[in-house]
Amino acid sequence: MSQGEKGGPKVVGRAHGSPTKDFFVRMITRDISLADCILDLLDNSIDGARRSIKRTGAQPSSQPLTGYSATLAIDESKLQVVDNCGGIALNDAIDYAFHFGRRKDAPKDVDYSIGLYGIGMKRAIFKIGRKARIESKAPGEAFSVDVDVDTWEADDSDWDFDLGHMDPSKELGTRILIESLYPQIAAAFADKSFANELIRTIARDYAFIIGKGFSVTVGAVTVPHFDYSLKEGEGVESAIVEYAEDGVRVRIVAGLMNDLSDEVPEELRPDETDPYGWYVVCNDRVVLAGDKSEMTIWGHQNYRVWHNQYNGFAGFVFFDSEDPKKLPWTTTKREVDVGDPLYLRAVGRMKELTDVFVAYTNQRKVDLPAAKKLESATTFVQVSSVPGNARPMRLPRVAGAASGVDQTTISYRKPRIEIKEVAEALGDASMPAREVGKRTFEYFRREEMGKS
Amino acid sequence: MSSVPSFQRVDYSLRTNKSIERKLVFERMKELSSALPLSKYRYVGLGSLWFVDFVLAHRLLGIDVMWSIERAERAARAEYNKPYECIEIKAGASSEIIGSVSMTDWATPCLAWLDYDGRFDLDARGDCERILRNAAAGSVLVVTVNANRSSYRGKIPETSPPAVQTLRDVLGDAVPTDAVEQGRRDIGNEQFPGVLSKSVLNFMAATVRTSGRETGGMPDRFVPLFDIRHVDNATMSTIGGIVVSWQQLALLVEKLALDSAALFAGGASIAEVLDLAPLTIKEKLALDRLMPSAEETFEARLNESGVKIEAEQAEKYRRLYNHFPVFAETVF
Repeated sequence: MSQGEKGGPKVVGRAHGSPTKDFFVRMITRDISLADCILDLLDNSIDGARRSIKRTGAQPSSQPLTGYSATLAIDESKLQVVDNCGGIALNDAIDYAFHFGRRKDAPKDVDYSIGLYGIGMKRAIFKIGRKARIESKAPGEAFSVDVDVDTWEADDSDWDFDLGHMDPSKELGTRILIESLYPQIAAAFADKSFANELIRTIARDYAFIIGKGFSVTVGAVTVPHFDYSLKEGEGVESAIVEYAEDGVRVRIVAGLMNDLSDEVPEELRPDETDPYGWYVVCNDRVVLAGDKSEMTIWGHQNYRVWHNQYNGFAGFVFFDSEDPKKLPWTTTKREVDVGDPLYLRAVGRMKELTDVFVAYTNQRKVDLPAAKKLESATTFVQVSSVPGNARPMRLPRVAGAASGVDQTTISYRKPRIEIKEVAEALGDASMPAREVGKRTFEYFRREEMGKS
Repeated sequence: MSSVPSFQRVDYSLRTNKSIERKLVFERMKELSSALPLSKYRYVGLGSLWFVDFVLAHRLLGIDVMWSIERAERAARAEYNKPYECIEIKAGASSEIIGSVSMTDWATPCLAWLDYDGRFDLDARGDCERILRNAAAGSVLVVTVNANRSSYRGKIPETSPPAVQTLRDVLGDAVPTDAVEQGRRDIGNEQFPGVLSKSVLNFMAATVRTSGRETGGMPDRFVPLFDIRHVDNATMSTIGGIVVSWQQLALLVEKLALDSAALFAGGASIAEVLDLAPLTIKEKLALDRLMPSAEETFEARLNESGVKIEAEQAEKYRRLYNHFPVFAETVF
């Protein structure tokens, strides 16, 4: 055996490092939930719609995605996603769309895209079933791909997929059909409660995309628009912090949450306290919703943990970038990269905004009914249309909070010498008697009763 | 925290060890002023009515942008007593004032010395976090807090939580895991100030690390500079350090002749326990006539001088005599 080429240790063999298909089919599919896989397919539709808008040069508007839609059909035997979002160009399909991972030479995708890792569609297929068909109709070109996972998996040396001919059509879009479902997937798809949960998840996580005009249908149900809004009114304003760094625009909006509109059907509404907490939104896609955990601020680095006292609070942090790789999300788009410096800097701001609300909740405890009344005497504004780029949070002023609750005086006599002894034990021999009395009372409440 | 503010009990300038500490802190800063543009900094303090630290910051470091945070009810008196025009009295609780600093103001690096009367509590923690997260790279944060174990636990040992619990409630994982000796319920009385300092320094480093602060794509870091204890009446700890960009770190490495790992580990930290008893003027003059003195020969010379103070106290005096204050009564 010879010495290593660069003078390193003697080489005694070569360890195999190439990937196996099994890893993609059975391992990485474990890291994502079934619902999130389906959302990955929807993400592709939305990126398609954005590409299509760019191609057709549509006028900018507040609802640019109007007219674009995706329809999901799920049942015991299949999952089908059909969209009218422009299809996949043949060259993109040949070179990039089916590649595992984004190729280094891949051209920049449409600005503000949400598909970024070159994994979503394949992972969804592998997670859900053993057979799939993808049909794409882009302007002037169309193709289909049939994936038979068993056949494809049998040969570890050939990773490519055959593209089949289809006649182009004026009805542009993509259809993905997954069949030969795994038994537990088939059972989930047959379960009506799964469908309802999926609709609620889509409504929650695509709220800002649906708000821009995109339409999603699951079976016969059109996914409702969760029109997240914050209270505004006399002395009540949500806070706004906005800044840009390294190609990412960060906008934080936080305040008192308003109920979803009555148009959201009862059975699809989230549970009462679910919506409270922090939302992390990357290129309009909600990654964390109503978060009450360490993933945002709660309990992070000894920051206060979420408490029911904070009900009513909602904060939204929007990260927008032309380059989705700069955003602090993970491949499942269900978690944030909590070590990302960009994200950590935002967390600092989020904590500071939350502090203001927490102080308010301490005040409103004094007269909760009055506070609720003041809170409900407001109008509201949708989170996506809160104007401006910097302002502090303003919250109702609860009468009586400043002067405190009903108070009375305790007074008793004790030998001066004993009071001095207690004062010394409290760490300050010169403490006035009044203060000694107050301290010992507070001490008793704190230590003996566990109250602050 | 006593409700009788310490400024009403003690004239700040009359505490021997506090006075020495102040000089140590500002001299260290003065030393760093060749590496950092300190004269362009903002000094942020809790000036009380005496402003002794402000005078040193102005005279020694040339700082002429200064904020003194003072409770609203005492602000007018502070305004009257401020020694320089360039001191701006900020009326309010420190958490309110520090919580409302604008991004423009944070862009000016600061030397903040938060000299609290009480223990390191959640408010102090909040103030420190804001500064460490937001202040421009190069900013220095120093806090002084009560370091008596008794301040951190209730008075009935059987029923009140141990001091280590109070510390963990405020500082979480920054409290060393071995803070409590095996078989004991709480941190030892003697060990407590040391554990407190370590915990606060750990917390400061962790806050900088988890703040996402960066300069030129490289994370900013925290370098401890102060770990001083002074005992005039209560035991007080003065703890702090500097947030540095990687460029500033290189300047510190050069200035302090320590590598970066040693700096992060506290190698440049001034660690002193200042518990000198006051000396009479006669004693001080006699001791000063021995100075400067090498450690080896000092004891013998001390004995010859006839000054009757403890050897340990005398040795501290030998090291710190340049900073030792003399107080005298004057009649105006």
